[in-house]
Order: sequence, then structure tokens, then C-alpha cells
Amino acid sequence: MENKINIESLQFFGKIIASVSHEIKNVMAIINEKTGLLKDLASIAEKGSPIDPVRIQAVADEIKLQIKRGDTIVKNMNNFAHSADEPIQRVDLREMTSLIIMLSERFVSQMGVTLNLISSDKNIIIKTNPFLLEFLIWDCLQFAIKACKDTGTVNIAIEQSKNRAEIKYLLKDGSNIEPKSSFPEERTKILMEALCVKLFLNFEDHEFMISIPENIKGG
Amino acid sequence: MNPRIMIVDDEESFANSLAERLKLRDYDITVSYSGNDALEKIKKLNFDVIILDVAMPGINGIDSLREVKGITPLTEVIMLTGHATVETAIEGMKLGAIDYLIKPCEIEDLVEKINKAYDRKKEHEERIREAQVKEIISSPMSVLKKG
Repeated sequence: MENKINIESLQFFGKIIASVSHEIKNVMAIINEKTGLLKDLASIAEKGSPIDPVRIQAVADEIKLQIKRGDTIVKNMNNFAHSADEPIQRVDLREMTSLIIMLSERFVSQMGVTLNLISSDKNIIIKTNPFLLEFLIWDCLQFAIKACKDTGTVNIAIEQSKNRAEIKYLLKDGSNIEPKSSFPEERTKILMEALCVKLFLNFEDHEFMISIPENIKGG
Repeated sequence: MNPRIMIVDDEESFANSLAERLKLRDYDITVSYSGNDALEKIKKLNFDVIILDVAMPGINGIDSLREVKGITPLTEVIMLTGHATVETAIEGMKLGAIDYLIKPCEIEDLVEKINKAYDRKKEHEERIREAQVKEIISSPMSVLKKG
């Protein structure tokens, strides 16, 4: 069981890193084109045609915007990488879910799905295995996204109840959960067991929920 | 007439900058931000070369390529990809794309590939025209029957 989860965890880590590196490539490609455009405009100016300074300023602003985008992507990747530092840590579930949503942006947009995070501003601090919980949140999200492919919306609500925290996945518009869905798969079950997480399925109302202890056993 | 090019990429900022740079090099450029929109446009306009991003939401680059080749087989397609999807770009070449480029790329490399693709399309069109002329010369009646 441990070996299986190790392999799957590595695959999860690899998928996230591949997606993030793809996003960084996109940012670099845009910056490459913008700087190329500045060179083109400089070359035109050298030949005697006037260049509007506003146009130059606009390109510079777009480069700045892309650098900011790249910085956010790298910060998210760094936070994700550090989640594997210690097996048990105190984390803010709201921040963690938000991070997984941001890291999933590429998968989400490719599936034509809209994601919304519904949460109060209040921190929800829990003691858990951060990396495995991120894996579980992502795993559930993948199922929700596939069920809402092309036209759907997934609302993710985070709430706190007595000694536990809850993440609700609410599937709106066009959700197509298979009547004999294989969810939760073996991997999901292993993760839930390791994290003492309970799963509540309500496919009739197009929703499901994971309930997470505030303090993991042995933590 | 300048080569008519369509850039298809969901990264709007990338597509717009590339379009502007290619316009400065005298190409006739159309931009599309999705596979679906691109397919609508090729039904209305005749493009010489399409620069097609592999990873796009909705209908992806490979599916778009299949559709493009079904609608306008002579239009040449250059696949554009990030590092993670090079294999998909190669799959694209098996499906009829003329070449691929990895982002970020140099404009000179892209221009070279566009020109090569444009020349190949013109060559194909010329061969088809020659074959039609030969058919007319060898059997003039067939043209009348077709007409």
C-alpha cells in the first residue's frame, strides 16, 4: 500500500511540475515576442519612421505583467514543493485549497470548466500531512472537473465544523457523473485512510464532500 | 499577394504580439484564440499557412489539425508547442502538419518555416492546375461533360 501511494505521489508531483513548467514556458514565449516586437519597432525607428511612445510604453507594461505572472507561478510552485518538507505540519486549509486550484488552472481551462472557491476570510488551521492532503484535494478536483467537462462549473466550499474541516465540491451545469462512477478509486481510498478523511457522496444533488480532522492521528 | 496566415493560440498576448511582428514583415495575418473559432474562420477564408498551438482548451491542436486537413487539405500547418508537448507536435506531423516549433522561438526560424510551407502549398496548387490542364488537353470532352 505504501509503495503504491509513493509511486502515485511521485506521479502527482510530476504532473504538477510539468503543468507549471508549461505555464512558465508560455510566459517566457510572451516575453520573447514582446521584446522582439520592441526590437522590430526600434529597427523601424532607425529607418526614419516615427514610433508612438505610447505604443512602446504599452509593450513595456505587458512585459511587466508577464513577469508578475511568472513570479506568481514560481511562488506557487515553491509553496507546493515545500509542502513535502515535513510529514506533519500546521496548515491553513483555505490557503492550501487555493494553491491547488491555482496549480490546476491549466487542467481546468483545457477541460473548459470554471472553478470558484467559496470561503470566508477566516483561516482554517489544521494539523495534517500537507503533501498527501494536497494530493487528495487535487484527486477529488480531477474527478469533479471531468464530470463537468466542457460546460460545467465546480464550486469549492470550505467550512469548519466541530473538530473537523470540510471541503465541498459542488458540481453545477452540465455535470455528467456516471451512474456507476468508479470514484473514489483505490488511490483516493488509500489517501483518505492515511489522512483519516471521510468522504460523503451525494451524486443525486451533484455534490460530494471530504471531512478532514483538525488534528491527524499521531500528529 | 502576400501569404495569408492564421495564428491559433489561446494565449492572446502571445498571439497578438506574434501577429504584429509578422504584419511588420508583410504577411496577411488573422488571429484566432481557440480551435473552434479557427475552424469557423477557415470555412470562410482561404489560408495558406496556419500556425497552430498544440495545447488549447476545448478542441485541442491535434483535433483542430484533423479538421483543418479535412476542410482545406492544401493549407499547410505549423504546430507550435511548449516543451511538454513535443511528442504531440510530432504526432501532428504524422497527421499532415509540415513542421513544428518549440516556444519560445525566434521569429527568423518561424518566418523560414512559414515561407517553406507557403512554397509547398503553391507547388501543390501548381501541380493540381497542371494535372487539370493535361486532362483538358487529353480529353476536351470530359470538361464539357463536367461543365
